[in-house]
Amino acid sequence: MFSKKMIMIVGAIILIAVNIIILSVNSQDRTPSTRTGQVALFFISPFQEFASNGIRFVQNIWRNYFDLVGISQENDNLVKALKIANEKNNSLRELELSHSRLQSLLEFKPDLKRQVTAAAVVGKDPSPWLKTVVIDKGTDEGVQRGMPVVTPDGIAGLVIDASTGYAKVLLITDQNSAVDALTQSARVRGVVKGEFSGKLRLDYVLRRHDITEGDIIISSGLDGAFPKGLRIGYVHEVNKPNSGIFQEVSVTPYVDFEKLEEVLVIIDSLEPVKFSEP
Amino acid sequence: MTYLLYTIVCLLVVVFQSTLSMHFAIFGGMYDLFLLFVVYLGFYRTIQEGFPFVILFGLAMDALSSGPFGLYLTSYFWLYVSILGMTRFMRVSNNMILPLVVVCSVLFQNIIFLGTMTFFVPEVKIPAFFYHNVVTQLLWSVIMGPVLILLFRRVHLALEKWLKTFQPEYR
Repeated sequence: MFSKKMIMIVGAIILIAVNIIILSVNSQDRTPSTRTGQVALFFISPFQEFASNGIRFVQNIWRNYFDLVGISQENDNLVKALKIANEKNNSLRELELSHSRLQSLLEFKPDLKRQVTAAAVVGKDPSPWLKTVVIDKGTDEGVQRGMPVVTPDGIAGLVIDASTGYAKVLLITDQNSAVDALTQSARVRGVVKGEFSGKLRLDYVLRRHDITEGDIIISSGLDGAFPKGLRIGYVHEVNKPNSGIFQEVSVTPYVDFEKLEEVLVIIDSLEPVKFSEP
Repeated sequence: MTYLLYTIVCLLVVVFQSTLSMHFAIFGGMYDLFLLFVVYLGFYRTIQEGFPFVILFGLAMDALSSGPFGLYLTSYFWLYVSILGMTRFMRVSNNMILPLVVVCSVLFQNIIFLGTMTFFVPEVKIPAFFYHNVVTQLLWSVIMGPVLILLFRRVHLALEKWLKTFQPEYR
C-alpha cells in the first residue's frame, strides 16, 4: 500500500517532530537532576580530575621551579592576602551600611558563621555555549543541589547536580542563571542574569533609580539561594532606553571564570534551593 | 576490541574537551571533537557498529552538559543519519570531501545548539561573538578534522590487522 520511500519520509517527519518536542520541553527547565547525569559524573569525573591534577602538577612545576621560584610564591601569597582583604573590606562595608540603617534597633544579631567546604574545579562543560563546571566534592562531603558556590572574589554559581564525589555547578554567567541582587550603595534591587558573552546583566531595575558605572552589585539574599551581601560584580554600563520601564544595566563579574580553579561551597548558609523534580 | 577502542577514544575526547580547554586558552575555541568520531563512524564503519555509539555518547554528553537534555543526541543522531545518506551518493574513498563534511558538521551542530537555546527560550539572544566563535571552530575543524579522522582510521585498521595475527577468528 505504501512504498518504502513514503514510510521512510513519514518516519523521519515523526522523528523530527518528537525531537523538537523533547528539546522544547527540556529547554524550559535545564536544571533537573537525572540519574544519567549522576552516573556520568560518577564515571567520567575521576578521569577529569586525574587529567586536571596532572595538568596542574606540570603547570606548578613550570611556575614554581623554572619561572622565578621565589617571586611566584610570594606573588601567590600576596594575591591570596589581597583577596582576603577585599573580602574583609566588603564585609566591613556591608556591616557599616547595615549598622547605620539598623542603629536605632538595640537588638543585634550575631554574624552567621558559614560552614564551607573547599573544592577544586576538575572539568567544565564540553560546549562553549554553556557555563557549568564540575568540582571534586559531592554528597559524601555534604554538597547538595541548590547550595551556593563562592570564591573570595564573589559568587561563582549554584550546585545543580551532585554525585557521591563530584558536583556540577551552574555558573552565574550561564544564561539560565539568575541571582536576586542589590546595588551596595543605593540598595536598588534587581535580578542578575548570565549572558552568552560571559558578562552579566541586572534586570528589572526601574528607570527612576539612579545607578552609576562602578556601583557594586551584591546578593540580596531574597532568592533563598545565596546569602545576603556576597559580591557579584560591578556596573560597567547603564542604558536608559527611550521606551520601557526598566533600565539596561550591564555588570562585570568579580570572579574571573576563565581562571576558576578553587571554589567554596557554602554548606549551611541557607536551606538549599528546591528544584522541581523531573 | 573495537568497542573498547571506541570507549577509550570517547573518554579521551570528553576529558580533553572538559579539562584541557579549561587550562589552555588556545583550545578555548575548539569545536566538538565527537563530531569527527560521528563522521568517521558514518563514513567508514557499519551501522551496527556506529549507531549504538552515536546514541550512547550522545546520551553521555547530554548527561555531562548543562544544556537541554537531548541536545547533543539530536546533533549526533541527525549528523550520523545525514552522513549515512551521503554515503549512498558519494564515494567515501575520496578523502577530498572530508574537510567539507567536517566543516558542515561543525556548522550543523552550532546551528542546532544556538537554534535550540534561542528559539525555545525567547529572552535569550544570539551573542555578538557567535560568528567569531563559529569561524574559529570552523578554522580548527578544517585544519585538524580530516587529519585526525584519517589518522584514527589508519590506527584502527592497523589495530584490526594486528589483532587478526593473534586471533585468526577475530572479526
